[in-house]
Amino acid sequence: MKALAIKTDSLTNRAPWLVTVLFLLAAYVAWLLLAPHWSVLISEATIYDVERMIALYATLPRMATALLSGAALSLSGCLLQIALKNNLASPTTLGVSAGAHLALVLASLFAPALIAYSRDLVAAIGGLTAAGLVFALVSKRNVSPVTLVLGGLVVSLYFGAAATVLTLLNDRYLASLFIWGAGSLSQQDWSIPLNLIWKLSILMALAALLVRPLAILGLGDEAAKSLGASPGNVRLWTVALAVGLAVIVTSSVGVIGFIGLAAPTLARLAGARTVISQLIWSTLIGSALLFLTDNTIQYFAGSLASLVPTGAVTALLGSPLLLLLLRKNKSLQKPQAAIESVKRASYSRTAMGLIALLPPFLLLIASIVFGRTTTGAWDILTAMPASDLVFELRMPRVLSAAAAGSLLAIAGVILQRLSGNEMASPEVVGVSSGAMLGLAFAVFFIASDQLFALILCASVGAFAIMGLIVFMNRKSGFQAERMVLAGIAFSALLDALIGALSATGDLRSLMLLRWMSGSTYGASLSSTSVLIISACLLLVSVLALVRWMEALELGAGPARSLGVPVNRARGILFLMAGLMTAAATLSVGPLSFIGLMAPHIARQLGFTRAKGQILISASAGASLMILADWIGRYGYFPYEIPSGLISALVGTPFLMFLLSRRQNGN
Amino acid sequence: MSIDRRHLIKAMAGVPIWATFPAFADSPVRIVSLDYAAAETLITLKVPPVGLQARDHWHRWVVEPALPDSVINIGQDLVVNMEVIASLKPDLIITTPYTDTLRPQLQRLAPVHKISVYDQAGTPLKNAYRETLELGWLAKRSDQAKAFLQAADHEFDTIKQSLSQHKVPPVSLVSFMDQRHVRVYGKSGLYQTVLDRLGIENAWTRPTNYWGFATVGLEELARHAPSDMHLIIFEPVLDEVKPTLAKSPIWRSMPVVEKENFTIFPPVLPFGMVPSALRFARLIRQYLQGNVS
Amino acid sequence: MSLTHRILANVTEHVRAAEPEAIASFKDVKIEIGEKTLLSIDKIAFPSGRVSGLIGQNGSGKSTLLKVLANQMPTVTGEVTCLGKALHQWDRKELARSIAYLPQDPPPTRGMLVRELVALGRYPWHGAFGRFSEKDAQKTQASLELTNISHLSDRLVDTLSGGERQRAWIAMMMAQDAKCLLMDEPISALDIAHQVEVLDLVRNLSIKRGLSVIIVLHDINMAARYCDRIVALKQGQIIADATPDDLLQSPLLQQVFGIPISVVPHPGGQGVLTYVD
Repeated sequence: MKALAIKTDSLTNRAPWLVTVLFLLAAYVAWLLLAPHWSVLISEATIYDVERMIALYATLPRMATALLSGAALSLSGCLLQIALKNNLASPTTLGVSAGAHLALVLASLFAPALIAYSRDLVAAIGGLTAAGLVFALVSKRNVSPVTLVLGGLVVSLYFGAAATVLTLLNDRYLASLFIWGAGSLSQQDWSIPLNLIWKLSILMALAALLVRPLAILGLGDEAAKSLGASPGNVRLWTVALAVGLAVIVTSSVGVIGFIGLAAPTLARLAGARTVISQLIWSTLIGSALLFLTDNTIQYFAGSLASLVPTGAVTALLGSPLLLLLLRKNKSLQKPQAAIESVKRASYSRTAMGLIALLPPFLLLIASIVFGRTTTGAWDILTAMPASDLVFELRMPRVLSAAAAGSLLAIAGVILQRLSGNEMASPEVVGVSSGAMLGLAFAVFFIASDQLFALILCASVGAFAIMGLIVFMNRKSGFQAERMVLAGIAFSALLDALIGALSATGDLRSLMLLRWMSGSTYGASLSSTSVLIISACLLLVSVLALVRWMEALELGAGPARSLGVPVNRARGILFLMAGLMTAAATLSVGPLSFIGLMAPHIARQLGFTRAKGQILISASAGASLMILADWIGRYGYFPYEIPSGLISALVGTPFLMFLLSRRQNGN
Repeated sequence: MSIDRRHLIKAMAGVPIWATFPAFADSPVRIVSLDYAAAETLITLKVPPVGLQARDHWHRWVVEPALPDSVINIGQDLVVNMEVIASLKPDLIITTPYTDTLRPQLQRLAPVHKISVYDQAGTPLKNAYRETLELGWLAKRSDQAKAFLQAADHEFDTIKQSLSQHKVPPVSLVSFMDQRHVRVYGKSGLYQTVLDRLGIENAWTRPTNYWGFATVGLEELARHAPSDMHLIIFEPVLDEVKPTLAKSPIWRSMPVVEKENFTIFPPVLPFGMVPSALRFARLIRQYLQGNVS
Repeated sequence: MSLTHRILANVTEHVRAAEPEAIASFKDVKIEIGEKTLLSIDKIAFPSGRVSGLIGQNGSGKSTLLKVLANQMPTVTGEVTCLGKALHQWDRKELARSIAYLPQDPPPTRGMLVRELVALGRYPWHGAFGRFSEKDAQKTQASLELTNISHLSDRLVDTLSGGERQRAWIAMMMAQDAKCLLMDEPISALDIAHQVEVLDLVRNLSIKRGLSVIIVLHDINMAARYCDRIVALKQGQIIADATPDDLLQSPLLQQVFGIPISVVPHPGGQGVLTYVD
């Protein structure tokens, strides 16, 4: 009887109540914003009144834009979630918004005529490319929800990194895009909301046509087919429509993150059940939600309101939601089969030593010897007049790149081996982002730029995230996709935070932005020696713990019965990975993906045992970083491209490749 | 203020060696500048820098004085290319408070001197005078610097005098960041001190940041615009801004726009020194004389 | 339950005596993926108005055969005829009105009521944009009653027990108003009581409404009990096509499953039972 009562209760749709409450709250804040000017607003316009004009042409259209954008993004998210049967899908998590953004950045730099022709078209091409890329990555049928979203966020990450490179290289020109990139709803007239309203009405009407086919899709592809529907087409049209909705908003107001994820989730939690009610209530909730958020920002930010990017605020609120959903999401796929088998090669001790030492050594020399002259011509040390200085200038950078690369690589090996997850790495699971958050804290609240204080804060940040990861995974056993997705959600949070900070114009955020992109530029003799010494110490101590590591891979039970103090051993190893990440993040930023790539290179070469993998990974990490640093120094001479971004541009496709191979392999 | 005594103290503190040994005084001083403002002053004093940050963007932000072809690009100001600077073998590197964080690295290459036009005092024009003398001395062009400042003073006076015959309205000075946001220049900015020097009122009296500007939405600008003010917009204005403005009711209904009391100035470095101040003064005289009774 | 079944079975035995025509037939059908042959059928016809069972080891091609009929396999060589018309000539919607297909494990239907699930069976009739007519509503209600789940119609499908859920899905197939039901292991996830419940339902429907049913089953005893005819597959080929009695007597049985299987008379007196030696 009781069970029945609960069931009936769960059937009532409380979404209307939620919508009403949200709208009332939003309307109240809107009233607070408008009330002071109400009398002039309703009076006949006789003479010029600034406040009246602002209320009519800035405040009101901004509200309308918020209502419309919120509705469109949420409808888009809801359509994606239903069509893909994936609670985590949304324009943000599938990379659609990031794709649209990058396309607009690219077009405004290299083909302004295209933008003049049609912003929407440019954005649509970008959005569709991103979505296409995601689906190509995880093309397998019945792909797990988490994997799909993982693909989406990885694509987002990549496009985001590319947009950052462009922004850094052309900072003065793209000043506007920087504000815009985080999504600003500020308006000067009614053109954008009026424009949005007819485009969105058309798309929403089309969405209404999809209601019934979408309900059929809920029965699974086979049943849907046997009912005469064609699931492939329905899905294609729905995704196209959802992408359309998202890119229209993105091209008008920028990236407004996570509304498209939050609104459908809330609608479902409130009890919207059927396809039609989910679509309707998601749309209304999203509309109310963005309206409320934006009004609140306007109210509290006062005259700064037009500068605080609403998109960054929604992302700040929304990315933790992704983590929560991830914890709730029980419908994940079975634990993955073990790491793919690779040939296991046996090398003699000398051969291993050679492989470990030779490449980084040669690259080290090459990257010091090869350079460019003041006019940009290539040069082999001799032509540069101040050769003694050149050596002094290049040496610390190359060495700290090498040290940081190998630190990240070893941290990657530790994380991959301990979690049994081939996609783990400090950057991917968010430990680097944690270190970065620690740095942000140090810069803003301790106001210190002492190397020691910075490394300390970075370490604390890294440990905090590491602890959180262990906590989140204590039951699910470090499931690959879940872990990676959590890490990427952390990165998104970090991005949003730094986006919001930079928008306030605080000069310290410039420093953070630079760290975010990661560069050895600041390397001095002292910082380099600290890095090298810690790299050596940590390498030696990790090598001493190799037996623990291999025993732990057997699982806690067998390890314990072998006499390994399991919890302590794990704790110590994680602690070391955290320290390594923190030390390295200062030089390479949080997104280099060296810690992901290097362990794989080692394994592909046949070094599967812990010791060999650690040594060769360290060597590979150092080599990759030296190379990235060199490209960063000379690729756009005399300007510098942060090495962290270069390796991110190489590393993200590598992550995508791993992801797609997992799909094909299973 | 006794300039000589200051220099003596500095020299003892280990600043450029040639200044104390006249024997070195013949060849032009090789200076690398991490700042446009110092560069424009040096060019005016006929000792153009050998290396300059982001030299390829000079035409967008400074324009005048023209940059000699010989100037080498040293990269972006906060990440200048140390190798390029090293190979230029400079005698002196000029930084600002903004770029002075690089001092430890730069010091290995050459003596570093910081000029601060923008500081807590918020008197950039006065500081610019002081730093011009300083630069003149460092570049062995003390006489030229003094002469230049005298000429500048004279020109400011002339301009002020010629404007005093008119009823000069308040002005607002802005750069467009995008369609919806402007930087408006006010207190403790270079333009402000030039306006003060010329006896012109700045319509924007609200708070500004360290550099003397505030980034605000267009509506905020409209809100604080007296009806008789004139609006001066500095290039560069992005291509996409103009058509949007043409449609914006807030923009079009602003009295300053309705009365067509606005104009677009070619680029003037808002964070410049005396040459930019003069350039701005000339432009504003030209505009006001043509547009007010 | 079992009593009613027997009575019904007896009553209809002579009604259905006449030689039925074929609801579907295969000729020279071959499906290959790479080197592997999934299905290779020279000739077979499924009788109309009867329950035909498909048995065989895992990977013997049972599900594939069913999917071919349900038009779920993209590339088929040879000739598949359904209701006298070649499969590829059928319009998708038309076919859906004639053939209903229940996949092996229907996915969870998030937040869907039983009534809504069953109503979706009317899709081939009203399409994506047509009106949900009075007739559609009637058919939906009738299907709910026919499958004995009217009392569950306002429950969420996901909250039902396994047997109830399977009945709800069958109700959806009923609402589809098809002449032919294709069911892929509809009882594999159910306990024995629910297995009987579902198969009773299927058989009764077949008899009451003259439906043709093609059903994949794992349990040879269940197949013998509920099917009019059993088709055995091995490695994509048909190795037997007979009545349950004939098949159970035949040495072919061992061949089907690849292990020694013996047959004893049913203690209840009707039919036989198989067991593994």
